[in-house]
Amino acid sequence: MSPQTQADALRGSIDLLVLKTLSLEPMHGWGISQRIQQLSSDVLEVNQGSLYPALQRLEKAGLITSRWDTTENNRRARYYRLTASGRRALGEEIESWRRFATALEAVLSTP
Amino acid sequence: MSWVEGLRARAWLLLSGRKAEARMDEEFRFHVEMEIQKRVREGTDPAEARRQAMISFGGVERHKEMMRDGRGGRWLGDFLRDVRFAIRAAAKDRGFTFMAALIIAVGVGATTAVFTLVNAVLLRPLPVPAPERLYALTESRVGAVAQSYDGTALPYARYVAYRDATGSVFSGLAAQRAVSFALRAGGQTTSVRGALTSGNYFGVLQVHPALGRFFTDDEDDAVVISNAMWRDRFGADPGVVGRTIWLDGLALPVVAVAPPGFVGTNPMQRVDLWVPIVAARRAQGLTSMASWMFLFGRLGPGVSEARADALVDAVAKRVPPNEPQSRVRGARLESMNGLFRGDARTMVGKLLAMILGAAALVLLIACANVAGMLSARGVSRRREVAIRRAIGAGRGRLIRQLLTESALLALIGGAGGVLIAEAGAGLAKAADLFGTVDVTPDLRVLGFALALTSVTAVLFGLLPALQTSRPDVVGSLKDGSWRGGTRSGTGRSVFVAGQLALAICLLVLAGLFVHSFQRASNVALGYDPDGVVVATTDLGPRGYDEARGRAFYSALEEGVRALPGVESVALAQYALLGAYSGNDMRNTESGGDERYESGVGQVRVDTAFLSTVRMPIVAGRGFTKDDVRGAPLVAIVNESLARRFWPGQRAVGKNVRTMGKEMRVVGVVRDGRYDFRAIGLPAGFALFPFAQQYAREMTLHVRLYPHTRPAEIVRGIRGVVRSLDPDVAVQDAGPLSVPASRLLEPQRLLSLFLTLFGLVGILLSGLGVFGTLSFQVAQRSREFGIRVALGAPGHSVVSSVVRRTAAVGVIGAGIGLVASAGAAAVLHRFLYGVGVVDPLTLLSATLILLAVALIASFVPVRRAMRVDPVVVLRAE
Repeated sequence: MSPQTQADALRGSIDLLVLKTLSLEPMHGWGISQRIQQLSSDVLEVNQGSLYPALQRLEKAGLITSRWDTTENNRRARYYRLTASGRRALGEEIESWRRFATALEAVLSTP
Repeated sequence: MSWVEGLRARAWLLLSGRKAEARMDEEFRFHVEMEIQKRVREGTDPAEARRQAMISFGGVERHKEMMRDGRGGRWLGDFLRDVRFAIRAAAKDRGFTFMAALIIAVGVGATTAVFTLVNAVLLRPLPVPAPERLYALTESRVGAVAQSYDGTALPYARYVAYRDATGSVFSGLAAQRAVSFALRAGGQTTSVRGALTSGNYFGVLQVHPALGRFFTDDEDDAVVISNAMWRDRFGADPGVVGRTIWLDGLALPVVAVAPPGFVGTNPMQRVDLWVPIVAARRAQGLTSMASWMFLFGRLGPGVSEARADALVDAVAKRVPPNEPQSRVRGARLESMNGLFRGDARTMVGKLLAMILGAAALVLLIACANVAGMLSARGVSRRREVAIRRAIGAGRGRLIRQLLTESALLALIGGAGGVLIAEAGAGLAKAADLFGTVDVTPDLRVLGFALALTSVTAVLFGLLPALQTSRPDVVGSLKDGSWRGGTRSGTGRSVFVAGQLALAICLLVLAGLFVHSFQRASNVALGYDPDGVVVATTDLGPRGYDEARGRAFYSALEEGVRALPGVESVALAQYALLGAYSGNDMRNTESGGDERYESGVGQVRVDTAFLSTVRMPIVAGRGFTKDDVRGAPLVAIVNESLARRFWPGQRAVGKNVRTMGKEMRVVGVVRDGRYDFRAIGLPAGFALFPFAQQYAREMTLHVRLYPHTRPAEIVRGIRGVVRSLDPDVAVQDAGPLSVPASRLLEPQRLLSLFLTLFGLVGILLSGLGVFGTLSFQVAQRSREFGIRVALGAPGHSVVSSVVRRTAAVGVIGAGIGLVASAGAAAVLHRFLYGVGVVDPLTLLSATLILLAVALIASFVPVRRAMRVDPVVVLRAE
């Protein structure tokens, strides 16, 4: 995929990616972007311009909360974690995404 | 719960402001640091790593901007920035700001000044606790009804009926009636204004005495004095409680001093004494109360006005009235704010509504004026607006900022307006324009001014803001000179046309009312009250039948005529300028169409009345000795009634029907002001001979020779009455006075205000014409320069501009004239002797408009004609 279309496709699903990443363990913004990159084997690169607004959006919606803490290098960083409703929302989002992907797959694999 | 967490997050974001900024900075810095570290670990040179990390992160400011937008606390910061910008812009263009603010100040000032009057006359509550729970009771009747400034007067027995039937809704229903007393205290006897009240009067009002203790229901031996009287008459003597004073010869002990500022239930009739009615009754040895009282009550806790209103209405219909030929239609509760009740309140309300309407028109003219100015200035700011839009400002953002500038202008103008209103109030007080009415502005007035200012800001600011922020970026940036679009030019023309229409409408209405006032003031009083003493006696309570009553009254007349200093004596059913009784009346003239008028004042008078009060007869004759029982029933009417019933014909010889009887008109008297309805126009009035129609309560009208002391005559009258029957009460004895309130002369006030507003309006529109014309000339100066350079004569150059302005003027004036005709048709009841279309007024208004327009156009047109092409073209 060209970088442009990749960015478009990513924008809609970044919330989902962030929620999933945070469901594994609480971490800071940079850690989230690295983890997504790592888990997707470098296919998905999260643009900082989308990441932080997404984090703010999710926090405003009450799906994640944040708290300042120190890293292992003794630096101050803002750590995000999933809330109970965030966990619920994640489950629902994954469900609907899977349904969507399955339907898409069905259409595309028609000979 | 996610919404709680979300709310908390939102709130924190909103309020944290600068702290959030710092945290955002820190978070981004951390991210960039980690990026750098990662690249360094991968082997990149540290400086190169930093550069790459920064690039990959993207513009920090843009991120922060997006976050800020997401924060949502944006509007507050924006607003403050707008305000600061508006203040700077206003300070930079001081001339414009001053002019606009001044015009707004005139509009807001006029309206606020009128509202101050409205506040004093209709809205100000009594100085008692919880005044909004107090209500006056007024009845609506068909047939005979007694009305006064205080509303409907009811007999005491009826008050008792109401009181006993409404215990469930009122915590107390009280009655009062203002009377004059001869007060003797400390050797001096003076006439003072007092009130006869029910025992629970002070209880219902819930005022607290400054000294002593108010009387209650079962006390009949007490009097309360006002705070002012305590200071003026008794030197603020702390021992005044317990002292005895004499009222009309009755000794009463002072039991309390009222609190300062309390002058009874009607601030316009300042009362200095309160006497329980039972005390007065005891003094005069009467066994029943025939006094007419005005009722008011305090709603019980938790009772709604609607509920009490319904109950009062039901009681009114249930209890039959004592007066013959009088049917009660119902009763209702009325607010006790302000100075008037009942019919008078309605009338005054209409009058003030008209004046307020005129002031509102002036305000509209001012708004249109400033809107035109802003629109013109908007054109010169096209470039600035275009640039801002080019770099990304949304239209809504721009409109918000422009509106903030307008709001600032409105605020400055509004403050000026309040000052103008206060100055006006001060002037009015100095000129004693309103008598005892207190017209100082209070909090309610300030609140009104503030609300008005906000509305004004939107009125004059919205359209220009919309115009100025219109998306025409490329065009505005391309052209060097600021060229205004034709659309905004049309808007400005509409503003000017609107101003002219409103102004001429105001002028025409002012002219009509001035004309009407002149006609009405020539009517004058209609009789001569100076040197007349009145005294009322009511034979009802004594149970006199007609024969005994007539004997009493003729003996009374004889006795009073014999008093020294008396020139003539007459009897009338009501004192002039007092309460009146109005009935329905029809004319019955075979062959003509039947006319009908309700509320025609009717007074039974004796043969000496017209000459005693010097009421001139303009047609026919007065009553004579031949108009007696058994002779054909006759009546005398006044000019207005005659004119309305038989337009263009002789009234003498025609018939009228009222109260089930038919009478022949034998005379017409000049229009005058017979009753307190001086507020309206001369109402219909009819007189009947006492000899033919008996009434139990009659008022002596005694004309004195010059230098006779009224107090002595009053004493003499009392003596005569006492000698005839010591149990008959003499009420309201004293000189026939014209209370200050009537000096309000509402018609005069109305014409004064309308004329003032009309002139201000026309001046403002002239200013508008001048401004718009100057602007157009300046805009097209380049074009003029070219045409002149090509050889066109001076006057042809401006012809297009002049034509356009003239067209706008004609359209505006036309609309205004039509509107004024419509308004006059609606208000024609208030116009006396003036038609809806009055050629003189229309002509003068149009001429004034023309003159103002010409003067306003003179300077700009001359400037246009004198355009120097060299100067203009070089300035490009």
